[in-house]
Amino acid sequence: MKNSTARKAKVITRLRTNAACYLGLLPFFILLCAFVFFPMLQGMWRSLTDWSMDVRSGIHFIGLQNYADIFDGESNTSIRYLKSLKNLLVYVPTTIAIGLFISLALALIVNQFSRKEPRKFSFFRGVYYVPTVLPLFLCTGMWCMFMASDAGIFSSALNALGMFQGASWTTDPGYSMALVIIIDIWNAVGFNFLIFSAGMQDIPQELYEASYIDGASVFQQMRKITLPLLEPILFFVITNSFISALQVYDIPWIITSKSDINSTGGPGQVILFPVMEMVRNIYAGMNNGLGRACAEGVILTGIIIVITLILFRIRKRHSD
Amino acid sequence: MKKILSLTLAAMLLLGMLAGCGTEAEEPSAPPVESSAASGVSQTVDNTMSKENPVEGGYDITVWVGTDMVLETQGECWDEYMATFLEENDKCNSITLVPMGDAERLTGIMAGVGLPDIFFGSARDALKYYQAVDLLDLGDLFADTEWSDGFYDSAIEHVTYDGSQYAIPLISYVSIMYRNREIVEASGCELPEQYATMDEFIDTLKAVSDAGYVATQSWALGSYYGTGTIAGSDAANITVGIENNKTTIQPEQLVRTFETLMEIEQYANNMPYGEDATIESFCAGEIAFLLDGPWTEYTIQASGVDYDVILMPPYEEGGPTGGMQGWDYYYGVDSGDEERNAVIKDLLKYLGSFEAEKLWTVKVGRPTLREDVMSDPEVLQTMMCRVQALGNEGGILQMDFFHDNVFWMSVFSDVAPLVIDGTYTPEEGAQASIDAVNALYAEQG
Repeated sequence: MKNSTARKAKVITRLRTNAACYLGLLPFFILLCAFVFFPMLQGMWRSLTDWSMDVRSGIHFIGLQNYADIFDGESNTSIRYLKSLKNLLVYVPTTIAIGLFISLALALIVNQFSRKEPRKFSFFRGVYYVPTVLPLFLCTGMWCMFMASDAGIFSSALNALGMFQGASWTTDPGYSMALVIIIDIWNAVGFNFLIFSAGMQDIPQELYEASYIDGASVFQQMRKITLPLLEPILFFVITNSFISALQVYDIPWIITSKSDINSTGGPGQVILFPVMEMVRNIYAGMNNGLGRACAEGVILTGIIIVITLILFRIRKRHSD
Repeated sequence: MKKILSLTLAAMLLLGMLAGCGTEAEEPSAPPVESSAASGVSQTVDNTMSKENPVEGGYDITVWVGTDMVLETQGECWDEYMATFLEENDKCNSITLVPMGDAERLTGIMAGVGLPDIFFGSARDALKYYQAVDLLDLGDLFADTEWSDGFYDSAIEHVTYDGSQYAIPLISYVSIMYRNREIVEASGCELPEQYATMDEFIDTLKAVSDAGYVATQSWALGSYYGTGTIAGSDAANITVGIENNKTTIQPEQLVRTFETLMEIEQYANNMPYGEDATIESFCAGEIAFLLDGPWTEYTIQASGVDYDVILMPPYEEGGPTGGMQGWDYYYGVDSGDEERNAVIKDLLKYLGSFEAEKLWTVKVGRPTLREDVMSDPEVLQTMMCRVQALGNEGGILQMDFFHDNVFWMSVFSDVAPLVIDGTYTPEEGAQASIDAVNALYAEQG
C-alpha cells in the first residue's frame, strides 16, 4: 500500500516536472497520430477488406484474401507484385553498393582539400550536391533525353565507341533497370557525400598526424581511422538508403507510365516496383483494388521493418 | 521562465491547429476585376467569371478542367463559353475553372470531398468515375433528339450505362501519322492525301528506307499505341466485347495486326513512341513518318517541318482506315439539390451543343464527337479536322468506354516487343495478348 502510494506520488511529481515538455510535444503528437499512425492502422485494417473504388458496393471484411491473391502466383496481380519484388532484389543492393562506394570515395577525395584549400572544398561540395536539389522528374527527363536511342548525347557517344549499340534504354530489360539505377545514384550521391564529408570533418586531425608519423599509408589511414570512426554515419546512410531504395517509385514511373496505368513498369514489367504496383491497384478500378493496394503496402512495410531490424542487429553485434 | 515559454508555445500551436481545422475557408478577397459592360459579366484572374449583378439564390458552379484548358486558345474558348452561359442563364452567378491533371482529377473524385459540379475527364476512366461518385443522370438531355441527334451513334452508346446517359461526349482523336513531305518526295515517292492500302504505305516505308532515310520510329517499343493503331485497320474483324468475364476477341483476329507490325518494324529505328526525343527527331527532319496524336501538331508546326497528316491505311482499297480512337467527356456530379442540378445540366447541354463544340473544333483544332460539327464545311477547312473526321468513320475504340474498366489494348505494350524480337510468332503473340486480356478481366472481377 505504502509502495503503490509512493509510486503514484513519483509519477505525479514526474508529470508535474515535465508537464511543459509534454504539452510542447502534444501538437506534434496529435499531428503524428492523425497523419501517420491513424492512416497506417486504417490501411492495415482495410487490407483485410474488399475495399474498391466502387462506393456502391460497400466495404466488407474478407480476412487474408487479399494477401492470398497477392501470393497465389497465378493472377495478374500476383505475377506483377512478385515480379516487382524480384526487381527490388536487383535494384536495391546494386544502387546502395555503387552509390555508397561513389559517395564515400568522393568524400575521401574532396576532404583532402578541406583544410589546405577550403575554397576548392566548398566548390566541389556545392557541385556534387546540385543533382540532389533537382526534382526527380527533371533528372529523369534529362537522362531519358541523354540516353534516347539514336539521338541522345550519351547513348550516341557510347554507340560511337561501339558500346550498347541498338539498345533502347527506356524499354529494353537490363538497360532500363540500369538507367533507373544510374539516375537514382546520380541524384542521391550528393546527399550521402555531404553526410560523409561532414562526418569526416569531425575526425581529429591528430589521429592522422600520429599515424603518418608511424608510417601509415593513405589506404591504411582510411581503413584503420576513417572508416571505423565513420561507422555511426555509415550505418545511418546505409539504413536510410535501404529504406529509400525499397520505396523507389518516381524514376521508373516517369520512364514507363504513358497515360496507361497497366503499362507502368514497362514491357514485361522490367522496372516495376512495389509502390508502383500499389498505385496501379488504386487507380485501375479493379475488384478489391484499394484493399489489395493496402495489403501490398503492409507487405512492403514488413519488408522494410525486417531489413531495418537486421541492420540494427548487425550493428549491435559488430559493436559488441 | 522556461515553463512559461513552453506553455505559451504549446498553447499557440494548439490554437493554431484548432483555428485551421475548425473554420470554413473564407473567400479570398477578389483582385481587381475586368468588367465587360456589354455582357454584364466580369472576369477575375483566378479563372472565375461572374455576373456583375448576381441573382439572389443563384449558383456558383465549379468546373474541373484539363491543365491546358485555361491557357491560350482553349482558355479563350472557355472564356466565351462562360460569358455566353452567364448571359443566357439566370440561375448561374459564376463559373470557376479549376485546372488539374488526369491523375489529380481521378484522385479528387475518389476522395469524394470538395467535388466540383462538372468535370472534364477521359472516357477511359468513365466507369471509374461512375463507381466513385454520383454522376448526374443526363437521360433527359439525350431525350431531346434535336440536340442529341448531332452526336455520333457510337458516342451516345458509350456514355450509356445502366439504361441512361451519364456524360457529354466532347473530344475525340484518332491516332495519326505526321509525314515529312520533303523526305518522302526526296525518296522518289508520291504524296497521296491518304494511302489507299496498307501495302502502299509499307512500300513507301521501304522506299524511304532504301533511299537512306529513317522511315519511322519503333511501333512496338514503349507503348500499345503502335500496335493498337494497326489493329484499328482490322477493326471490322475484331470482335471486342466480354462474355463470361472473358474477352470475345479471338486470337486469329489479331494475327494480321502482329504480322503488319513486324513488316513496319523492319523499317523503324529504336526510338519508342511518345518520347520527347522521338518527337524532336521528327521536328529536326530526321524521321519520315511519326506516329502520334493531334496534340503534337502544335510542336511540329512550330518546328517548321513541311508535314502533312495521314491515317493508318485500310488493308483493302476502299476499306475503313485504321487508328485507335480515344475520347474525352464532360461529366456532371449530382449535388442533391434539384435546382442546382438543373443549372449543371443546362451548362452541360450548352457545352455539348453544336455551337459550343464547333467553336472548340474551329478554335482549338481538336475534333469532337458531334457528327454535325465534324461534317461542317468550316471545320473541314483545317487539315487535322479533315483527317480526324475521316478517321472517326473507321478505327477502333481504345476500350469499351463506360462498360468496363479493362483497357484491353494495354497488353500490346508487353506482347509487341516479344513478337518483334522473335520470342513469339504473330500467332503466339495473338494468343498471349488474349491470355493477358483475360487476366485483366479476371482481375477486374
